[in-house]
Amino acid sequence: MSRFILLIALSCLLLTSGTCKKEEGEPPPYFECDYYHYFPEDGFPVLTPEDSAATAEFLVNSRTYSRGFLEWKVNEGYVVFSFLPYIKNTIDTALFNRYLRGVDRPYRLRPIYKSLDWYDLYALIMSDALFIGTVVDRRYIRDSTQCLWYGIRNVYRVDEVLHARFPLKKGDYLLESRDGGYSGGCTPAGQEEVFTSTTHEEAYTVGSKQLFQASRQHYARFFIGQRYLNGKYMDEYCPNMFRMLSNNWNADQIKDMKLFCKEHFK
Amino acid sequence: MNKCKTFYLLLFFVYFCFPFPTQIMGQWSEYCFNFRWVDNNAQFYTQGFTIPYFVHENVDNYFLDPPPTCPDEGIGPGCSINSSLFPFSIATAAMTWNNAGAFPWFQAEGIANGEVVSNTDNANVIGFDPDAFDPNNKTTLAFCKLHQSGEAYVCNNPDGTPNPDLAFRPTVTLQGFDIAINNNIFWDILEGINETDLDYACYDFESVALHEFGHALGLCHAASACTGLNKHAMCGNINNAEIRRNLQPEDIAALKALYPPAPPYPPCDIFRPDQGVDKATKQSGNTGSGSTCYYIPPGAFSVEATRQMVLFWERELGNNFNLLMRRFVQNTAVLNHILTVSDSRYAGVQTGFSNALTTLTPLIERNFAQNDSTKITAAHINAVCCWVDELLPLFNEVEFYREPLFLQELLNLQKGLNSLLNKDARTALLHYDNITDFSGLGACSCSGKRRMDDTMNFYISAQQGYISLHSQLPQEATLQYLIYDTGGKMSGSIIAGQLPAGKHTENIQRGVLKTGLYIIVPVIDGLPLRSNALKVSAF
Repeated sequence: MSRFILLIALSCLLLTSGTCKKEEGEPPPYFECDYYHYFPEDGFPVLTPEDSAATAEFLVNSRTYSRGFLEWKVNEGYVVFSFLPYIKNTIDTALFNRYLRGVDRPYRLRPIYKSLDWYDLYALIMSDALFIGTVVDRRYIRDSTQCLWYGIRNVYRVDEVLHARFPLKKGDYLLESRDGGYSGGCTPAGQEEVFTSTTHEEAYTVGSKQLFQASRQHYARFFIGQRYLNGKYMDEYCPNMFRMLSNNWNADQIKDMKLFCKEHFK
Repeated sequence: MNKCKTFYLLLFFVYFCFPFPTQIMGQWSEYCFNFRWVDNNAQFYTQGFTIPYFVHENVDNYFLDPPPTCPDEGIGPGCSINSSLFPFSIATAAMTWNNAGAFPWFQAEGIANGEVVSNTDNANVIGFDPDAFDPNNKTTLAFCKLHQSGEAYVCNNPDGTPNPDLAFRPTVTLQGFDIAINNNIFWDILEGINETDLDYACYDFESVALHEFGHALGLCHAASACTGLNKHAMCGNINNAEIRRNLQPEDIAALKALYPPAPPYPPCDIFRPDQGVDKATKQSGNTGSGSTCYYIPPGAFSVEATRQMVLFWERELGNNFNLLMRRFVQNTAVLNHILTVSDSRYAGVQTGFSNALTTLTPLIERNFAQNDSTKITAAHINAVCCWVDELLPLFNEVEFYREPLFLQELLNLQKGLNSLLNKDARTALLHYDNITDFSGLGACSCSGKRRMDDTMNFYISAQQGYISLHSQLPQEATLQYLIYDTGGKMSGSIIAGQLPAGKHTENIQRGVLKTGLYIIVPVIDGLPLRSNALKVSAF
């Protein structure tokens, strides 16, 4: 009898520990670029002079920016790169032309579609994905030898997809890189490592849930800019990496966004 | 690590671990600090220190695209967006924090180019950052990138707790910062008096700069900062066309809690005229109280002349006035430090004072070393008045550089001298009991002529009854002065008109300006000369 009780106790113990182990199981390697296969064929970002010229011409013709403004602003190709998806037809250009084209800046804060203004619609039309998600994990990339611009990685779990230009469903993970974190290899030998943080931009912490705009170009444009080209930073490009943006949309705006997606995206 | 230091660090730990409550007029407000600056030359800040910053060259090339239609909402005379004044707005915002009286002192060092945000350039830069903001980013007007030596709070942790991702270290110091401004936003600055001068589509550049400099000092957003009629500078959001260029008491309290004020140069408790060889170097342990004094170096400022002056007045008026003068002499320690320290902040004062000493020291010695003087004469008073009057404009600069102690002493000496003109030693002493009240301060009667530094285009001097703005024009030009208060609001202007080449003087009558600090920008042929901005105290 006593052996039987001991056996039951041991079984319970094993069962309990097994359950615990299952609950606290190792997370998937979602901090690694290879974990994701959303864009397997995508190569390193390149902005050719032709692309740049075409995009600049588009921006001027669409009254998105004046020529003078571009000359001032496009010193490193960033703005041009932001609108490259239009030139490459990787976004719905018809929607862009309908809602974003030709809206002068003073009027961009005014509602265009229900409660949504130009900036909200820009997020909808230009983003790779719009989703309600939760920040589930964060890692600081601490490299003492290589200088990295992107020192922070966040993993998002998708809770609801409003719109995506690639296969994305509830429960999927998305990986984000952000600049900041430890300077590590950026500091010469003997100098103290510093930790860089940003005010205003990182309002969401691990565990927070809200509507995010996933933007690949926002992440990728670093690799065509002077910061990267001057060779100081040694980041490796990941084609499945995003930068998440959030404009603190309220419930009404999210409702209107869902409606917009339902009407305009199939 | 000894026990004392351990306790000190533990104190830091507690300090940083929890939002620090500050009590303002009976109300508690929660502030969270994520770091503090620490003087590189000391384990803990002691006598104040400078935080240098650079303005990026793209700041005054800001391009509005296209400019807002004005008047957009039927208000105001229309937009007159002048980005050439943006650097000045930045300087004013930094100065607003400086004037709050904390030890860190923002000091503009020059113009930067290249990357705005970089943790490897060893430069604190503020500028537009085209890389940092997506074209549809309308919610983030600007951010402050903080480069810290160690791990601390991330300001935006909503609950104000330490970042759980980081191993907390209590000895967090800041190595640098960069402020990136969103160039997708319509920016403007208030050039008039009314908020309606700012078009509704624009955000006030200086208000946002003020907020970001608060982050650069180590302040986070406060939960209560956005409530009430007067939002704090550290409120995390601002509306378009909203002006928030002044610090609220809560902002100042938070700053002072982070950097507790302490007398930078405690006066010696005992004046010892025979203390030995004058030294320009720091002395310690020679006052009996542990306070640190600086002594006047030979040839720079005559201790003996000052001592003779004390003795002279003592003979004439007894110990009462001696006390007054003794305190002044003690605080020549401050003067000496300002004159000898290797600090770019004081370069202007050091040059000007050196010039003044060349002519004034013999005068002082001649007037106060007269053994046969048996009574106070108008000549004596006049000599001191001239001396003080000559120093005041110089030390307006010092006050501007947050060294008000000696200026206060000068002002009180001036008050005392005025009282003595009426043979009222008791009133003269009372001035020391009310040193913060400068209202009603009379001016000494100085009959001496004032020099203008030929090497400068613009120069301020204080005269009896008015402040003089001197200019030297290399060629014919139109001249105007714009007068700003430290909040960046224009308090007035002086139009000198078309002037021929040469020296000119414009006067501001005392009483026209309220008591306070002002920044005066000369405008030549319509071009504001910000680098020639003059600082003046009105009292």
